[in-house]
Amino acid sequence: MTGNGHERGIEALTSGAMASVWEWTKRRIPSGMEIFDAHAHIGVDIDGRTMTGDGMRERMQAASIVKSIVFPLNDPNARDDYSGPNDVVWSAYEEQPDLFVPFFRLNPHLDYDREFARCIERGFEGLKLHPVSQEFELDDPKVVRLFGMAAEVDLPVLIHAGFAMQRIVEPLLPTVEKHPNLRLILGHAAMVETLEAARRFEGHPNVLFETSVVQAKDLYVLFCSLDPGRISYGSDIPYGDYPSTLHATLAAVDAAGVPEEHIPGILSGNIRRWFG
Amino acid sequence: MTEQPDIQLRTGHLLRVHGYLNMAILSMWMRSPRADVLIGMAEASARGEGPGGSDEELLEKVRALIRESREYFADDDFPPAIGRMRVAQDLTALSIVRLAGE
Repeated sequence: MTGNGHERGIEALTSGAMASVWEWTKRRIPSGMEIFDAHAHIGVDIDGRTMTGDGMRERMQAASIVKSIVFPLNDPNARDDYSGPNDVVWSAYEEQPDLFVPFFRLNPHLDYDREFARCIERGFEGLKLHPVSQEFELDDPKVVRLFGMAAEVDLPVLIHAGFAMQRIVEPLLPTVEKHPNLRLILGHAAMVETLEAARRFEGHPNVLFETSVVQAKDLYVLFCSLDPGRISYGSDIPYGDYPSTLHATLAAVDAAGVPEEHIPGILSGNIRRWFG
Repeated sequence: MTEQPDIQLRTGHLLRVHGYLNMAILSMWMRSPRADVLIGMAEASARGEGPGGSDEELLEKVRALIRESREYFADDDFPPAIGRMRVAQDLTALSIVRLAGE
């Protein structure tokens, strides 16, 4: 218990004033739904936040989430090639292969060819890039080359396209046009440019929008502007949590009048087209 | 006092609450030393019955979420604190969107 007499841990996310919110959220999830979280982290961040494979499993079980894409945080222990944090994610995947879809992370400023090849060889199923943490633009030639490498081996790429981003659509569009088969996940649904992204990427079916820690009003605009078959739920654990992010997504779905038959796709089916 | 159409005044009041929630949430993310003060401002903005009383069900939830968030934040338990603020903000924002359609 906390000093204020509250529950601690996972229970605190759904107790007290959150209890009725969580009850509403669970009622909006179709019965038997096997929810797929398209955005979560395992490891350590320079800001002090951490998450383990076991921590993810506990949170997933508590919220009836069956699968999560996981990748490293902005790890203070990242060597030049990010191999250490990538190994942490791989170990978590090996311990619980049914729960996790492992993505690796790279720093495009540094020599990434060897780690890219090692992770592909090992069986990682996607690449995570964070333009804010690693301080690069999406049209940087080193990044454009990396997108090309991912397209060549048919590797999905999840891009942080959320908080602190200032340029998303304009620098990314040439890559999307050059590599129409490249599977891209816009983490945080292109947040500040969500409407422009919905318009410009509408004709590019291999670009998915992922909803983690996006405000419900932004998601409302997205759901009103884009085929819901292009939108996938994410949590951004440990920055987000399942109850509040599921609530945001489903409340926005309701407000936008998205037909019920699209909810299974948003919570699972749309991202499962790529990851089974 | 100018008499405002009910929906406009309700919208204005909810925009106020939403704005203070936004400031508080940002301060929590940025680990501002004034975060507790800004949560307190959000709490104050939702205090008392809203115009006409039509939004009391929403505001009751928002008040409870902010109050608990502040307590969790004081206990240095960030996930339940920020989660409650996010939900309070989302509920307020979508209520404003719905009011715009009335």
